[in-house]
This record gives sequence, structure tokens and C-alpha cells, in this order.
Amino acid sequence: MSGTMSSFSTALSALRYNKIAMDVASGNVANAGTAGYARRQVIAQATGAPATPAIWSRWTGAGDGVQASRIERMVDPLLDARSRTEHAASSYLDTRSASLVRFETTLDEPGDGGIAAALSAFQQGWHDVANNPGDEAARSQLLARAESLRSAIATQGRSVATEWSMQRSNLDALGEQVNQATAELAELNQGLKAADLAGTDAGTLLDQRDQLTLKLAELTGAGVTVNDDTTVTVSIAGQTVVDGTTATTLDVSGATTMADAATDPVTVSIGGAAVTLGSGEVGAAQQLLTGDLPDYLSKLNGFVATLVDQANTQHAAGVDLDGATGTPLFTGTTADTLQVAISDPRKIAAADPSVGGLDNGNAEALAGLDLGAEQYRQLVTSFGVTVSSAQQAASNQGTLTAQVDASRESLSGINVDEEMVHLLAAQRGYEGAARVLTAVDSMLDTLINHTGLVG
Amino acid sequence: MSMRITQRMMMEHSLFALQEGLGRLSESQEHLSTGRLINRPSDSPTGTNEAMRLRSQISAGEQYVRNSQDGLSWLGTTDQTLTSMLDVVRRARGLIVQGLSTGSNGPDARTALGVELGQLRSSLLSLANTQHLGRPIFGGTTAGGTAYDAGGAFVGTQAAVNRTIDDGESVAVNVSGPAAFASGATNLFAVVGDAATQVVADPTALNATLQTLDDITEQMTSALADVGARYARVENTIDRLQGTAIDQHAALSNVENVDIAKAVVDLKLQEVAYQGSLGATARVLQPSLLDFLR
Repeated sequence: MSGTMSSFSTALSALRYNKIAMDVASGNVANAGTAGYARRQVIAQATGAPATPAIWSRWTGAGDGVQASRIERMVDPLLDARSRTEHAASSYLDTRSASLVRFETTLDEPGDGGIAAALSAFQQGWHDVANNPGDEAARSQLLARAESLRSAIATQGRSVATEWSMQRSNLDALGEQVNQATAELAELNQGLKAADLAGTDAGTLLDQRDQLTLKLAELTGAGVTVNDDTTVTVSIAGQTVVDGTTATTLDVSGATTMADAATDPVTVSIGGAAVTLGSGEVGAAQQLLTGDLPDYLSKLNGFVATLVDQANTQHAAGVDLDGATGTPLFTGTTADTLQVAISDPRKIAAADPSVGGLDNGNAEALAGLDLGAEQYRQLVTSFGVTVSSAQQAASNQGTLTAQVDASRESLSGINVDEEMVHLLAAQRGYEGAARVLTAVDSMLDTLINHTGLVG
Repeated sequence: MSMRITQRMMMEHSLFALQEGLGRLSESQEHLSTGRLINRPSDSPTGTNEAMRLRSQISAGEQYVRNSQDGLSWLGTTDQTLTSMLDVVRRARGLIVQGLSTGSNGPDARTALGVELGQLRSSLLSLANTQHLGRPIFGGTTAGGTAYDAGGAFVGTQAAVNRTIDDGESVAVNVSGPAAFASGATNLFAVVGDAATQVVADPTALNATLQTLDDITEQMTSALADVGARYARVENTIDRLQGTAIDQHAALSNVENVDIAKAVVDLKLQEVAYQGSLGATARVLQPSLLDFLR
């Protein structure tokens, strides 16, 4: 049999609980725009009969009030893991496609300002010399066109190198961000461990933890394991970077210019072990620095080698205006070393050596050569395919990531209307509890002040 | 349970949709403002390949037309020169025939014939040294300015002057001196020179000379016919190249350029869609329960 005053404590528990419910609702509203904040929900529990029955006494209470059993953080660890994976893939594809698109716009193909146009003009220059082998103007024009071709090739080579340097300094900055995040996470692990031992609400720390792991995943595609004590262990490409309160740094080393990269390759290492990341922004930068951009340059150099080889071989098969065998037209075999080796228009070997004089046999033969045009066209086309598939993949992954984000938001996000309803419900609950107090108070008043009075 | 929707979700959906709409709008706008469907290789890699191929074909075609036109002017000059020379040769032949009739011509008349034949010879020689753009047209690939020296000896080369008039198709646009006027001691100039002396000194020898001259005339006529045939061939090639160029330009435009009507309709559609999502965003993001709680 409960005491007379027990109704007070029941009402008091309701007041307390509703106060907590209002606090949680207002906290949710306050954090509606906070990045990484997961919705909190207060879980109520009715207080009542003890779980273990006593031998000599019987519980006869009827409704002993309410208590907030816990405040739940509305997250789903599986969804979090999925989100990290998708974000890592998304940032990898976005970074890569943005860089490729930026470089692609410098190609000026198909157009009038690119290498293909300069190469056509160069071939036409040979035709003009063939039409007028004795004309110095046609010969000078040919040399000028050879120079424009060289300049167009060199410009494209420099564009590759510029994009490379940009990604290289980007990689350094990304490395620093990774190290900062892992250090913060190691420190956070300490706090999480302490909170877990003390049994206090670690909601804010958990929010931070999830946010940092997501950021690390975006940067590196890091794998995250959540331990029983709510701390996390993080590994990048199989190398542990955060284990308990210890963070291992990620180091970026190697050449800072594309030209030196062949002898001093760019390396990303963790704790001394070189790693290759397949996702995240660091992975994208690594792919661009060691894959896409050098590949493009080497194919461009392949085209240059074909051009130089074909032009020089044919040029050597002819004789110039003075009857001397053609000297090499170009020197160098790469985009940045290519030079036009002839400056005297008379040295252009337009004539067949068996005829000499103003013959145009060799100029005609040279004008008819492909000079690597097909090879260059293939290079541009295949690069176009690379860029367009990278864009497509990035766009698809963006949609997928948005869907996962939406599922996550659906669970963890804050709906202000909903919080208003919770707030109102708590308000009404509070009012109800206060009403109970008034009722009990008036009941006691009747009992104390009016018992025995008649009339 | 149906999906729980939050304000932030709607906001992000709206932003995503607005971005998408704006992106498509900007793409349509780029198409319209540049007039090109392919502004970079990734817009259409296969289209790029085709466009680059067509561009190089077009520019090669233009060059072939230029080469052909240059060839035509060589052939034209050669044609005119040979025609004039044939006129002169016919005149010389008339004089020689006149000189053959020994009875009717006195010594003075013969001397006059000799002088005229001598003049015809130098006129032929000067015609044979006709230049086109500074090069003697009958001199082959000689670097010198003449095909025949003052003595009537060939000083040019017999090599052909070729023009590439189409892919892998080269045509000779000259006639070398010896091919048209015979060579050595019996070339046109020597023969007419001989006639000039023979008509005065040894009219009986003129018969053989006339025979040689006729042979040379035939050679010149056939050279002229050959030049005419080549002229026609080059002209045909130009016609064909120009026809092909029109087709190629059309094909390039098909691949590279925007269909303006379609692009405008597209732009309009994107604009409507974008305005729609703007309107929806404005209506949806505003209200909340707070507006109705009093």
C-alpha cells in the first residue's frame, strides 16, 4: 500500500521527465543545422514493481511515475559504414573527373587552335613548298608553321605538367588534413573510452567521431572498425592509422615537378610502408599523379617521336636548294624538348636527290605523310572517352551517395515539425503533472483543513 | 513505415535539383552560344574522332584544290605558249616552202626570207623561255631562269614538275623542252636556224629540213594535246574536290554544330523545368508547423 504522499513523487517524476523531453526537443531544434548532429530521442520508462520479488513483502503500488531511461542517438552503424564507403568513392571520382576536365579544356580539340590544326597547317606548308620549291616565302612559311606546331605541342605538354604540379601540392595539403583528422580521432578515442567507463552520455563525442571518420573516408577511403568501448580503429589501405590513442602519420614524399617524377616517384606511405589508395581524394590525386597524367604525357611524347621520326627520315631523303642532303628538321623526342632544328629556309630539302634543283619530289612525299596525325587523334579520342566515363561514373556515384545520405538523414535528421509535436506533447504532459499536483494538494487540503468541519 | 522526411532532406533535394537544372540550363546555353555540340573531346569521343578526321580531310582537300589551281596555271601557260609557238612554226614552215621554190625567188628575196626565219627562230627561243612565277616552263626543275640558251641548246632539266592534286595522286604540270621541241642538233631552234642559212645558201637542203620541222611540229602538237588532256583532268579533280568539300563541311557541321531549332527548344524546356523547381522550392521550404501554432 503506497503512502499518501507517493502521488506527489509520481507527479514530480512526470514533471522531471517532461522537462527532459522538452530539453531534448529544444536541443534537437537548436542543432537542426549542425553538421554531423544525430537526432536524440528520450526513451521513457515507467517506474513500477521491482524486478526481483521480495519474500516477506508484496508490492502493491499502482503507478509509481516515469523516468527517462536513456537518451538515444538515432544512428545506424551499418548505414554509417555504407555512407563512408560511398562518400570515399564519390570524392575519388569527383576529384579525378574535375582534374581531367580542367586539363581537357586546355586541349582545344576539335578546334582551330590545337595540335591537330597546327599539324594540318604544317602539312599544307609542305604542299606550298612543293608548289613553289624556289620561293623563299613558302619555305619561311613552312618553318613558321613548324614552329607553331612545336609551340602547340609544348603548350599541351606544359598543360599536363601544370595540372600535375597542382595535384602534387594538393596531395601535400590532403596529407596534412589526413594527419590532423587522425590526431583528433586518437584524442577523441581517449574521451570516448573515459565516457564509456563512467557511463556518461557521450553523444557529442560520438557525433564528432562519426564526422571525423566520414572525413577520413572522404580523404582516403579509410576502413573504420567501431570497438565495444565506442572507440574506433582506422586503417588506410591495410595500414592502421588510428589505434586507441595512437595515430600514425601519413607521409607524402617524392618529386614536386613532373619532370623529376620519373627518377623520384611520388610516394604515399604510412608508418614507412608505401601504400596505393584506391579511393578518396588522396587516392584520386595519387591516380592522377602516377597514372592518368603521366600516361597522357607519354602518349603525347609517343606522337612527338612519330612526328620527329617520320619528318626527319623523309627530310633526310631529300636535298635542299644547295644540293645538300636534308639535315634533321626537328630535334628532341618529347613535348618539352622538341625544337625546330632548321632556321635557314634554303635548308629545307624539298627536292629528290636524283633530280635536285627546284624539284619538289621530297616535299610532296613529306606532305603526303601522316606525321602521327592518326596517333594524335587516337590519343585525343581515348582521352575523351576517359574523361567522359570519369564524369559519368562521378555523376552516377553522386546519385548513389545522395541516396545513402538521404537514408541517413531520414534516420538521424531533424524534422522541426516533429520536434514541435514532441515539445507540445511534453508541454501538455508537464501541464498534466502540474494538474495532478494541484489535485493532490487540494485533496490534502480537504483532508487536513476540512476534516471534521460540518456545513 | 514510410520514409521519415526532414527539412534538411528537402532542402538538400531542392539544392540538388536546382543544381542539376542549372547545370542542364548552362549546357544548353553553352551549345547555343558556341553553336557547337562538341566543345571538348569528352562531349562525344566518337564525334571528336570524326570531327578531327573531317577537319584534316577538309584542310587537305583545300590544299589539293590550291595545288591543282597552281597546276592549272602552269598547264595554262604551257598551253598558251605552245599554241603561240605552233603559230610561229607554221609561219616558218610557210617561209621554208616559199624558199623551196628556187625559181621564183631572187637572191634578195632569199636573204629577206633568211632574215625573217632568223627572227622567227629568236621569237621561238624567247617563247620557249617563257616563265611562270619566275621559272622557265620548259626547263623542268632547273634553278636557272632559262630553258634554252641563246644558241638554242637546252639548259634545263628533263625532270617532271609534279603537283599533288589528290591523296596519292600526282600529276606532271610541265612539258620539258626536249619532249616538245626535240633534242640536240635537230631541235626546233637548230632546225629553224638551219633553214635560215639554207634558204640563202643551199635551198635544196630545205626539203630535208622541212621534213624534220614537220616531225617536230607533230611532236609539239601532241605535247599540246597532252597538256590539254592533263588540264582537263586537273580541272575535273578540282570540281570533284570542291563537291567533296561541300559534303565534308556538311558532315562536320552535322557532327560538331548545334541544330539551332532543337537547341532553342531544349533551352526553353530546361528553363521551364528550372523555373518549376525554383517555384516548388519556394513553396515547399517556407511553411512549417510553427506557422500554424498560436
